[in-house]
Amino acid sequence: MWIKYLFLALGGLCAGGIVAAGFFAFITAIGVITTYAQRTHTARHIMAYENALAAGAILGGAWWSLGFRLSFGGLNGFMLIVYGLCYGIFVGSLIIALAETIKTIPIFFRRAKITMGLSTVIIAFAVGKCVGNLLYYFFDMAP
Amino acid sequence: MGQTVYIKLNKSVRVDNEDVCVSDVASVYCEDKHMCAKIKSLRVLKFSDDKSRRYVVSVLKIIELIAKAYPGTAIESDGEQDVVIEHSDRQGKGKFMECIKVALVCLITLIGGGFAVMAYNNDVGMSDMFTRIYGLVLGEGVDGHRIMEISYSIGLAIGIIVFYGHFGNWKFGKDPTPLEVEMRMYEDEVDTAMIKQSDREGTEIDVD
Repeated sequence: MWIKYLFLALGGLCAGGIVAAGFFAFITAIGVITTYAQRTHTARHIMAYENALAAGAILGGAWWSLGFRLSFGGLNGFMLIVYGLCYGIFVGSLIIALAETIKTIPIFFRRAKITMGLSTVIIAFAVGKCVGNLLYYFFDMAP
Repeated sequence: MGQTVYIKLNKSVRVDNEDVCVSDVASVYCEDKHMCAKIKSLRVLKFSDDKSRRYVVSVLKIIELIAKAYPGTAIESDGEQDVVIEHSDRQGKGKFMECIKVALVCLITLIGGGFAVMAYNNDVGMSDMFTRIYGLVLGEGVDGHRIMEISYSIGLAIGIIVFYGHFGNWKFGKDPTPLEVEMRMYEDEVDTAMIKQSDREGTEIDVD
C-alpha cells in the first residue's frame, strides 16, 4: 500500500511544480507587477514584490488545498473587505494587462481613426467592468 | 586644437540636484584630463519647480554645449541619441510615501497572488481531480489522507521558488530574476515611448 501513497505524493509534487511554473510565467509575462512598480516609482523594491507574490501563492495554494480555517476573531468582516479589495485590484489590473498584450485599445483607436479621448475611454472601460460585475453578483447571474 | 571628445549618452537617468550636468547624463572621454573635467561639469539644464518632471534631451544639445565651450573640437557620440532625465523626489516625505506604497503593493500581490492560485485551482476543478486520482490509485472510496493535497502544496512552493530563483535574500545564481528582467524591459519600452512622444509634441530639448 505504501508504494501507492509514495506514487500519489510524487504525483502531487510534480503537479505542483509544473502548475507553479506555468501559472507564474503567465503572471510575470502579463506584466501586472512591473506596472505596479513603474506607477508607484518603486522599481528598486521589485524583489520585495516577488517575495510577496511567491509567499501569497504558496500560502494561498496551501490554504485552498488543505482547507484549514483562518480566523481573525472580531476582525473577520474587516479582513474579508481587505481580501476582496486587494483581489479586486489585482484581477482588475490582470484583465486590463491581458487585454493590453494583444493591444486591443491601440488597434481599435487606430482603426476607428480616433485621436483623442483615450482617458475617457479608459474610465468608461473601468466603469463598465464595475457595473457588469455588480449586475453579475446582484442579479443572480452567478452560478 | 585637434582634440577629439568621445561621449556616450545614457538612456535614462534620475537626478537629485536641481542642476543637471553633462556627467549626469553621459560618460565623457578625451585625452586632456583637464578639459574632460570641464566638459563634465557643463550644465545641461536646470529644473524649474513646475509640474513636468521629466525631460527628454537630444544628444545634439550636448554636442552644441561642448562645441560652444570648446570651438573646433571634434565630438564623437557613441551611445543613445536621446536621454530621459527624471527629477527624483527629495528625501524625507518621499521616503515615507515610498514605504506606504511598497507595503500596499506587497499586500495586493500577496493576497492577489494567493487568490489567483485558488481561482485557478477552482477553475480547473483540482479537488475533483484529486478525488478521481485517489479512486484510480487506491480504489474507490479509500481515504487518501490528503496526501496529494499536501504534496501538491509543497510542489507549488518548490516550483515558484525555482522559477523566481530566489526566496527572501537567499538567491541561487547571479542571474537577474524573471521579474527584474521584465522590469528592465518594461522601463526600456517606457523610455522609448516617452522619447517618441516628446518628439511628436515638440517638447524635446534639442538644438533647433
